[in-house]
Amino acid sequence: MADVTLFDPAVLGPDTSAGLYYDPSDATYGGDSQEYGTCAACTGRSLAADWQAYLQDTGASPADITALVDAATAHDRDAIAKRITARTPAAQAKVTAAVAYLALAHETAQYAALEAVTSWDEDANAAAKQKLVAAPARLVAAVKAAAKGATEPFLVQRYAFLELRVRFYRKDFAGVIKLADASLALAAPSPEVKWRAKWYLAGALARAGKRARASLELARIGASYGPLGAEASTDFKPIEDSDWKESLRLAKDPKDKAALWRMVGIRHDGIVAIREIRKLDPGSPLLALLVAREVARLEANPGLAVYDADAQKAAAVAAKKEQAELETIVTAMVSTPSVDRPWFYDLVAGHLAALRGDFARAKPHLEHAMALRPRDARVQNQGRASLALAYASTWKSTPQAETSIATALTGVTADFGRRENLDRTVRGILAAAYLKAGKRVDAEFLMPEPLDPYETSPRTAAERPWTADFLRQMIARSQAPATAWDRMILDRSYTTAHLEMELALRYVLDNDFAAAAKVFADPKAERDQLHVDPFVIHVVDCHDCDQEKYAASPWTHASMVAHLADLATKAAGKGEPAALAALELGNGLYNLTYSGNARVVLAGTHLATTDTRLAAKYYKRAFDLSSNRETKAQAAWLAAKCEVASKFDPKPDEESSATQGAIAATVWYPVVKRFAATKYAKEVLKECGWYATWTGSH
Amino acid sequence: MRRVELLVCLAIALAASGCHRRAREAGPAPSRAFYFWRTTLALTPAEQHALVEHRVTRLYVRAFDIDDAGALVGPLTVPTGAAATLPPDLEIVPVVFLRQALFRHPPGDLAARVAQAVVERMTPFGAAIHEVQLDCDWTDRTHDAYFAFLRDLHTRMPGVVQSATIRLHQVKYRERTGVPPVERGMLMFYNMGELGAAPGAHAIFDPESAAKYLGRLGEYPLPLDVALPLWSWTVHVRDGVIVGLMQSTDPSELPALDFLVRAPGGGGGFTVTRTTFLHGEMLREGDALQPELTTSADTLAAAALVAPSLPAATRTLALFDLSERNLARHDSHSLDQIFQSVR
Repeated sequence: MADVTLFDPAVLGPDTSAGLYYDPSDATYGGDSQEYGTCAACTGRSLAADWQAYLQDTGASPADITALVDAATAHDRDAIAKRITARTPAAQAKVTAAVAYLALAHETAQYAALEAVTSWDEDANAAAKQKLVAAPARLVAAVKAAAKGATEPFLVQRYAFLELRVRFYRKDFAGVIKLADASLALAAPSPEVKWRAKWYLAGALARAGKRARASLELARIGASYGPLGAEASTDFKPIEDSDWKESLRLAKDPKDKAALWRMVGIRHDGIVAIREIRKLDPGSPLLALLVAREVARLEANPGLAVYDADAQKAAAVAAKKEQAELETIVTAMVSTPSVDRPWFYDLVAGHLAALRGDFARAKPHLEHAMALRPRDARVQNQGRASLALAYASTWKSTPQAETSIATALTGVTADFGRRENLDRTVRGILAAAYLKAGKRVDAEFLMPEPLDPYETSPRTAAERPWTADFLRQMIARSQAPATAWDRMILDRSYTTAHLEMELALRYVLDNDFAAAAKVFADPKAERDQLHVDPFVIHVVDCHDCDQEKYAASPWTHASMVAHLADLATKAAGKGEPAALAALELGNGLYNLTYSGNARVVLAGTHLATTDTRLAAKYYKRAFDLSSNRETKAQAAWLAAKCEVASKFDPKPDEESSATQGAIAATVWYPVVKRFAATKYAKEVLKECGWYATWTGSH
Repeated sequence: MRRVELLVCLAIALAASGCHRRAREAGPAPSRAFYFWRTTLALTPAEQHALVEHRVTRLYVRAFDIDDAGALVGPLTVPTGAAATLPPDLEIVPVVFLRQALFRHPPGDLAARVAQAVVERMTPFGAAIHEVQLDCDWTDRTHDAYFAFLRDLHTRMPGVVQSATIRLHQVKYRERTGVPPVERGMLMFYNMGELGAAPGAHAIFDPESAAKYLGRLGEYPLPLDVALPLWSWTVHVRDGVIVGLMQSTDPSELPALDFLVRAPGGGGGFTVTRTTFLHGEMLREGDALQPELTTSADTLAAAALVAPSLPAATRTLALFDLSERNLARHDSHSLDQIFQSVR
């Protein structure tokens, strides 16, 4: 959700969700959300905490209490009980009573399943099958007998709950309902046990065909006891009109009715639930979670992931209508006198207005929410985030506007749950606005994504590859930020060091090796190990082989450029040394292109290229300068490879060798053929099937 | 063209074609089968009667599903004694539905687990498994892994005939999607139209769409059985967007419900007048319910369309699916006609 939404429901506080925040990957309510801290484990923790509190005055250590509660066998429990040195005889009696209860509880757990479970895990299947045996009647009697001896409210409640469970796993649903309705012992002291008992009651009601009341009990659990909220929501299943009407009739007051509608909101339809609860109680505390879920649902917009364009269009229209309706509702809630957490509805109203680009409506709501909760970091973060979105959506390129948005965006702290998506969204909107305004440099800094040159939809505002002039403008902009806006656009964007490295490589591609080397004279310019030897060449290229073979190669951007500059100087001379230097220079330049083994050097820049013309130029120079037939044959072949590459525009997923081979080098193949008697040309004939085919030798 | 007109035209065209070119020789009468798609195999008396009356020899039952993550879900439950209520000679064919996303990755030990689970699920029926059917809407992106799974399963269930469901697009684009390495295919002659919110949309059976897929049927390189639709459903629409397919809501139920009124325009739809629940689906006031009815005439039209495109051969004709509701909509005489229609 953090990737697709900008409103962080954690603004309501970390413990209020009970794992019920909206998640589009879950058709109903979101279940166990790691993002917010699920409460699926809360109930287990509550039960354990109950035991710790109950036995702490006996002198037992927390570890011993945990071990005692978890012990699977009587032998283990007795052993642990013996090592607990109770402070007093009364404490010892307390431990003994606890052991007696735990023995029955563990026995009951052996029968704790009603339905078959099928799993790939054979052990789990076997255990599940064992549990399907109904709990024996003697267990009910044993629990009831033991309960009579219990005096501490803690154990009295637990024995009552245990009897409920035994009856449930005997499928004595009428007995469960009767006991749950009559027993006062179930209500205290542990709220966990109290609400668990109601959960069993709901299960028994549903299985006894009393679905209407089951729904009501589940709704009460959901509305009153967060730790069981997710489980209760899962089990809430009104089926027909008759049982839903009956549930509403059984609800004894508006609070009950609101609880029922809250469940509808979580499982089925948030908007309807919000409307109905507001009719019952405009200030209901149950509304906030539903509103937060609706905002998330609208932002995630799962309706757009549907089957065809027309349906998508309809889904978009429907989503817009629902957003308008939600905004109308929360705006009304802001001015409702009794409303729970008014700052929350201000935040939502402001956020929804910001989403549709209504700055005038968004700003006062957001500022009001922030003023109501000045020390609440979550509210401040969400307020600034929504404000940044509102500014961006109604962008005006003025110094004042730039300062405002920079203040809002940089004021959002790193722990804001939607920080990454916020940055991406706001900066994306601003980048588009700056591009439209002709401010390409700022647009690039706002969206500093490295480019895949073969991607069909480029993400750069500037023409690719970047020119030296444009890189110089970028470098100038990256230095000495003076304003909040400057600092904001440079934050987590291109660095001067990286841009200098790109500029040096640009100079290389522009055939200005001296300028390139000069850039790297500055030690601050970025340079990395290339993990390949960019001067290795083959008759037939093998990009991956070279990547593997030369992974430990010490070449860096800087040393490569220095060597290219040195070679360029030598290649400008005469005779065989100049020819050999030109040949090697050609190799380095060829390898930087998409066809070569060092394409990775340009892949992370805005300079990636398929253009082999500069390499071909140096191969031709080597050919012209050399009088050695072997060198000439090699230069001619490498120039032929450049010629083939220049005729071919490779696509990212295509295997270049097979397709390139089908294109003949009309200029250079005949030249290579003239040197057929050389060792190198024979090697070419042997290694390159396509060339052999062209010559008619294959 | 209106649907009724299209069906009439279709019938005329079929009749006319019979006058001018040599009629395809009829094949042997097909074996009769039903699909049973509930997760608890407990037949009602009406369902049991239908199996006997129509001399149904095979029941394809949904043994279990495999979800995207490779987990077994919704295994068939066979209550004690339920197997004994089935006609004695009825062959039970377990069907395993596999989500196609599962095959975006190599199948690993899936075949071993499926083979074991199929045997376990079929244990209550006693008789040896003669055929197992795999149901997966595989695509050109997932066929490698799916077909590898099928091959693996074949080696783990020796002597068991393996069949796979075949969707119409897999027939038309078979070079792209491939042909599964199984003994037989079950052509699913339904779910072919456009799923839409408009009153006229037909997703279960749409003769116009069906006709587009028939051209290459005769040359499909697997022997094909055929499944025809019997079921109807109700499309749940909100603000012009489909929010649910109410599989368990028969269109005939709708007129009697006091929270529905007929939608204006005569399209057969209904409007929800108050927020409530219907068969577990929440309906919001103002929602639209659009029934999509499959009548016996529709099923017969489907049979008339598909039969001439199939080579004359021994095959099974299966109807989807066996339920009291579908039996009530398709009377005994109609079912008999349908069973005789594909040969």
